[in-house]
Amino acid sequence: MSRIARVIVRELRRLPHFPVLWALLGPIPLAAGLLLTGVFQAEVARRLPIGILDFDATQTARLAARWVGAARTVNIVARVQDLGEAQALLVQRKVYAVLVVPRHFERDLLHGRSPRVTLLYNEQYLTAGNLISADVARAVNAGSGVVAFELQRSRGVTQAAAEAAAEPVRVDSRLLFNPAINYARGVGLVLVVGLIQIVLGLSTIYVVGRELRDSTAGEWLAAAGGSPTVAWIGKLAPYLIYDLVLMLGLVGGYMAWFHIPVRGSLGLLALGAVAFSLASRTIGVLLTVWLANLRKALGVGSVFFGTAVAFSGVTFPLIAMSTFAKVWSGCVPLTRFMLLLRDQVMVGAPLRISAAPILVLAATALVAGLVALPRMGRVLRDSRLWGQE
Amino acid sequence: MKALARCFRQTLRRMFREQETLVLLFGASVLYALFYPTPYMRQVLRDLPIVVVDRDHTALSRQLTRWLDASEAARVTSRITDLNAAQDSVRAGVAGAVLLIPQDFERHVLRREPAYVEAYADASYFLVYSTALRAINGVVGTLSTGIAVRRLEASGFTEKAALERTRPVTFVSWPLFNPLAGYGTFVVPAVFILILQQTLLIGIGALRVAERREDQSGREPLWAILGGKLGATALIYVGHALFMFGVVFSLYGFPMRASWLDVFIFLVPYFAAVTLLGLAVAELFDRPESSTVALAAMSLPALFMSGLSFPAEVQAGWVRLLAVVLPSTFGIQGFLQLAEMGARLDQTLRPWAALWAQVVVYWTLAWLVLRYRGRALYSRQLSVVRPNEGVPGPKTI
Repeated sequence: MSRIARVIVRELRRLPHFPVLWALLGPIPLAAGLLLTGVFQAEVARRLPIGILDFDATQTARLAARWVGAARTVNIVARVQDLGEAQALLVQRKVYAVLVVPRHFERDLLHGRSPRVTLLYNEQYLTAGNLISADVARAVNAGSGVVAFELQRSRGVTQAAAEAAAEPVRVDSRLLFNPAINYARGVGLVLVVGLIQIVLGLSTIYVVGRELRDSTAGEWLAAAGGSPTVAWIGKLAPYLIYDLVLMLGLVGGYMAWFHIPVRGSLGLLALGAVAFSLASRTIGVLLTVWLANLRKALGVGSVFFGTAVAFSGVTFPLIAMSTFAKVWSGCVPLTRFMLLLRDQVMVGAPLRISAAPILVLAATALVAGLVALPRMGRVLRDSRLWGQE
Repeated sequence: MKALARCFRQTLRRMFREQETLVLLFGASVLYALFYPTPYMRQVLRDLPIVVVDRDHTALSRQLTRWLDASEAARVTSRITDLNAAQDSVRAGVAGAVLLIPQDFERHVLRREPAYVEAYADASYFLVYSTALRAINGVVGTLSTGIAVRRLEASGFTEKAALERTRPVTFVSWPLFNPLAGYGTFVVPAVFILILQQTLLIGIGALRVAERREDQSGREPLWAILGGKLGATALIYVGHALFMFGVVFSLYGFPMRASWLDVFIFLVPYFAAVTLLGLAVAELFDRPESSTVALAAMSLPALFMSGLSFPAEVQAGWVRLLAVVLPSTFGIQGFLQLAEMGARLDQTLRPWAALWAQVVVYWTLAWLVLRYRGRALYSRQLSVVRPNEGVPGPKTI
């Protein structure tokens, strides 16, 4: 049996003795992935509850309510009598918004006095608030446009001229790459990959850190015939294969479940996945060998990997971040891998655009590896670094 | 009562003595609280790069471009005529959107024909497309209304009458609780509540592992052991809450609209439910660091199960059922109501009552688990004394 095979076999034989590692590699990502699938099962936010406060209570006011009720994002679930009641429903989050139709709405509309319809919406729940306010604005403005158009028509102008007079300049807007504002694509994907990065990082720290803490690093090196290079390759090789299986299973399964097509190249994605796995694992190794303490490394690792989604630039764009956050996010493998996923899954970008994130991931692995290198040999030999609680 | 005080002191002593629990229960929350908000310090997206494809080259198209450039949310990075090149820069992520002003744009306006501009926004980032479209719609809407008003003025209406005729209904949208739509204000308070839960669960896990090794708790009544632990964690975590929602919130400028008394009344069952849940699940862990490994990955689903980032109303029914198990679901909901939305304490009755229900359930669970442990321990001590070995009981990880 070659030396590398001996290290690999030793690693596989060790696995059953670490139940928490098993849990981290199997059931935990599976359960978390399933939960995220359930969270985003609707894919788009529709029929969110809103209330209506109608001070006018006329036929026309009900028409305005119908304009809004037709908007797909909302569902009118409550009719309230006064602002106090509206406020109570809003702060108890029974509704995300309340549409206020003013007194004399019908009279003012008929007299051309432009009555004001107000939408009070909950922007603390920013996702729901933004979707609702944009959709209701569209609905009311469309309704208002119809009225303006009818007013012009009643003066005897042609249809085209009436249209132009009601709204001289219009915006024809198109949403690129994710036209339906699908949250399973836009947000869910980064959570699945962020989850995978936590598994990769923490499991690396655990398998290396346990060798140091249990003072078994000597055995490990002996299995490798005394060669640190063989020891490290044999240690990490099974996990790199596991990573690819995990990514294929979890990311692939998630994308298949939500019917997310790949517009770009599967080859680039595979290459990126290898680089992502290498970068995440190398950072895990770097933390473990320098801290030489399982618990400290897990603590630092859970801060680094656990907050990565916030820094990835998917939910909050990089260009809006502070300089510190930008620099930090540059060190997080997830940031580059998400860029690659966006380019290859949603956009279908050419190689010259996607080469950069893959190269940066490879460079991250290389730099982290170089920084870790001086200690990677030492932790295998220096028994003073072992056994730290 | 004396037993309770003894257990309380004993728990605190042990928390300080074990380095592991000291770091988890004291250090981790502080570190996370200072570090986590850093991406969101600027709160909103400003000066989003937009490419204008101007095929009209008239005074009006230039005016529209200037207005867009002057808007707070956007900045025009280049004016070109090639739509493909412009879309490429969106594909490459260099620009957030393209505004296309077609040929004969001004001519259509002057001839009173319908005129269109086209906007292409990058919807692979939600904050990018929404910011871009808000900026473009705002500027075009202003231009459009101005043109309509001037036309009506030309046919003899006063400005006011003209405005009213152009917009038969005025629509005003009024953002509540987070008027600037700050992303940090949206996400950080909820994450802080989650951080309190996660560090407490992990810390309790580590604490129990340390306690089981020395196993001397069998002498005290179980209610006192549980009570002492609840008191100790409540004391420490009220301190964390003060630090997070007092110091860190004012440091980063997040609003805090509740009185401290209300916050504490609300958070007491939250900390109690988390502590008891932690005691119940701690039996799964055989080593102090196991809780970190097992629970770190669950933070992401827990945050999204709270319904903050994607509305709870549209999540799967079985996810909503599971969400009921987590204190964070109700903790986040109620805390946001109190501290961010300015609710009165009685308006948070539902999440508060749910947390108390969790306290009852998890108290029972923790009590059963500890009693089982104690018995197993007792019978073992009768048979053989091997102090340095693990304690029999449910299979641990």
